[in-house]
Amino acid sequence: MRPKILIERLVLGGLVFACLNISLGLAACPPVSATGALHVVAHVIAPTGITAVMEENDGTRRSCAELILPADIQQAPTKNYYLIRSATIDDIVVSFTQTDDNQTLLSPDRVFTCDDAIITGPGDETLLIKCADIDSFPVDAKSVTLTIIRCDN
Amino acid sequence: MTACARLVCLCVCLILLVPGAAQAQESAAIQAIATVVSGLQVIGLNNLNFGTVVPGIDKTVDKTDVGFAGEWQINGSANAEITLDFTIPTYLLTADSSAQMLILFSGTDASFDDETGGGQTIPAGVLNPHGQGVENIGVGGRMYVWIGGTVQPTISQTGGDYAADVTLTVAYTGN
Repeated sequence: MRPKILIERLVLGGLVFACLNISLGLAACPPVSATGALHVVAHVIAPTGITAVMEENDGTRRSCAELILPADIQQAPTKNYYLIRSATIDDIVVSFTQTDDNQTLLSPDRVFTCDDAIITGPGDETLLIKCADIDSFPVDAKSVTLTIIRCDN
Repeated sequence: MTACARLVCLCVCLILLVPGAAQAQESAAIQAIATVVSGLQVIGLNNLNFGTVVPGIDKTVDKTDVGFAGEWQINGSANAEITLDFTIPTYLLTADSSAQMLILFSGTDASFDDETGGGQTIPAGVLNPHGQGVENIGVGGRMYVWIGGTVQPTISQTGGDYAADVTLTVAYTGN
């Protein structure tokens, strides 16, 4: 069989197959597929000396920075001190309560002014910051609970 | 060999076996009436972006978060049935792979819109990123898919940029 005829018949065969394929409803044979990729990206800020976590009454946790921008919390040189810094320090009020292991209140609620930005902590590596309103501020299992609220001014 | 492959071979063989004199014989044409499926295309439109993450605090991006949830566009044959399979990562890694961060996907963390819903915030349905979905492309030949997730950085999570890939594979079912 001459090459030209062979090619013609191969082409013809392909056309017949295409017609049969279509007429028999085999258009998806073989299956056609496609793939697309996305990137998943995140930027983790470098951890500071302590972990500052805000927890709202419903249990939602968020970073301090999300609530008190551009406030920042760092551990002071002495382990039992926590330094709360803010470029707009006048905009925050701090309150904390302290209890012993039996949940006994060791000191009455105190409302710190912005000048009292250096607060004595319990020495825990983790400091739980509650975003609750001071009046409804719960005394929970933490030895120290600290509240930071944003002032309207 | 599948039935389809056998059909191909049979057709080709029949054509090749026709003697040369057959070219002089009469022929008859059959009419083919069908809709030929167009090729599939999956385009990544938006990365799944968690933004800034604080060590020790989980962060979730919902599938409805416009501009943050991952988004694909599927182009194909109108009304064709397709399967959707996700390949999802377990961890995000830093560029040098020296640190990893856990990422979780729930069974409702993906959604789709086949042009019958209201877009990303009111999609037509929910997809499970852990399983295979079977849906139909919209009448306009398009479908959109979104995915959210949750990262769980540890208290001592290393600071820096983390990344991974999530892949969507789509295929016609033939229906």
